[in-house]
Amino acid sequence: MRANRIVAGVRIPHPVSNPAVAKDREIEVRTAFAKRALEVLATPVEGPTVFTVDHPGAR
Amino acid sequence: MRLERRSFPVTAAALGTRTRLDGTRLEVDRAELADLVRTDDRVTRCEVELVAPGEDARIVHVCDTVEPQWRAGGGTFPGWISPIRTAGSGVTHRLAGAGVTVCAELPWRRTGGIQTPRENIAEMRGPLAALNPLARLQNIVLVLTLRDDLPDEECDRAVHLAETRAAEHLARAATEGAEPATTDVRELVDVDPSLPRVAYVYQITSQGPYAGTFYYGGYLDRLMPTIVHPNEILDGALVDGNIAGPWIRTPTTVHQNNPIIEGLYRDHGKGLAFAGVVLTRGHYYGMDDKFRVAQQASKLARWLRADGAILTWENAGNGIMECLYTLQECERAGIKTVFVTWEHGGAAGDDTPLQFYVPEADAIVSTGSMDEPVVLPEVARVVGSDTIRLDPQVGGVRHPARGPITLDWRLELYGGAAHVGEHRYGRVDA
Repeated sequence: MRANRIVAGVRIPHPVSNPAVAKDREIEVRTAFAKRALEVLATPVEGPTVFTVDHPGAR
Repeated sequence: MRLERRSFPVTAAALGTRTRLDGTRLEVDRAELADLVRTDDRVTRCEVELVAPGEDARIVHVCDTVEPQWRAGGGTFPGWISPIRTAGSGVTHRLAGAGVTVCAELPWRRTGGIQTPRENIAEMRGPLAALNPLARLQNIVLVLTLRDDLPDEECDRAVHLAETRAAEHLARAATEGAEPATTDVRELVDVDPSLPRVAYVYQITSQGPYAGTFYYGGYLDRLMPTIVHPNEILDGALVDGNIAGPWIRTPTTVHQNNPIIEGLYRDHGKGLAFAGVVLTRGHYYGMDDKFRVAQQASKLARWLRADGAILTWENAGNGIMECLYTLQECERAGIKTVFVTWEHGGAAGDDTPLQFYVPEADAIVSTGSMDEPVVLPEVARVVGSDTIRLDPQVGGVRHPARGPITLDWRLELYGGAAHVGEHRYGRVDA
């Protein structure tokens, strides 16, 4: 089995969040990851592919 | 930078009334050495034991092993027992084949986690002796008891101060005024410019007390990749504190005798030119940090005008990512690479060997698997403690150190990964 669709996280201990973002905005970060994951699931891929997420605090 | 190493081989050690070298037999004044170590008031007790290669013995609670070195003009182990100045030039005296091994039961204030000072076990005989860097050494073992009110960083510093202090004392007392058996010079002299230039990208890990590497006495935790002279490493600039990762650490004696550095020196001017060392740190938690490390380390390899690079990495888990991203960037810049690594592979050796992979890593040297279960036999003598502590994630389980001990994997075997090839491709005592 191969993990063909990979959504890149920010830090090893924070795969679907961002500790640099204020706590009251955490829900926005997590929602962005969840929505991106759903988009990615519906995206055809040729092989293992890394997807990035544009989320609050990403840059 | 020219380093003259005067070597005094040690093939036997015994307790005596004064510390001296009689031929290749090291006599150790036990009381004098213990008193010296106890001048640090963090150390409440210091027992001195001698353990020889092949002995029916096991050393436990190992914190580190250092090769005794002494510099006539001062400057031994800078940042520890000497002022900070660049190591790697001048004259160093070394007791080749001897090691000061320091043992202590460090506090377990947390259960599990990256900074747990895990059990470090060293087998002195049998097949597993080949997997630890002190089994070929005449060990002068310091068994310390530390004050129980010390914070972790103080405990960490106390054990490494003790070993460096003892190592310098032994080397000075044994070699001062004596003629070395051999003298060798380490210097990156100019060689035929048409030879291919090979750099060594040396990735260590450093994450605070019990999980650190010290560079001139300071933790390398926030290290950005930097160029160091190989002589600095041979001359005691790096001290290993990765007590949290027994299998996957680089004991200080291995830094001092790194076989890849020694091999590149051996071949310098004969088939290749040793371009230098890029010292780098892995196991950052942020993805961006990993990319920064890879960009910086590969850039420095280019500045060294490397045609090829050897990459090694210390520690485990995601630390492999910095090393392989660096390798990938080197290859993209036209630098041919060799990756030296230990593997997982599962108990039977048929599982995934590496946690991460890049297609550019097409020349890989394996130093062996951590995942094979192992039984440590009963031994006649244990040094360091009567018990070992395993399973920190459940608060610690004690077992008799004498054995037999079954380990589901080899994490607790001190220095076992040999990730710079110190057992399989070179000898730390050569």
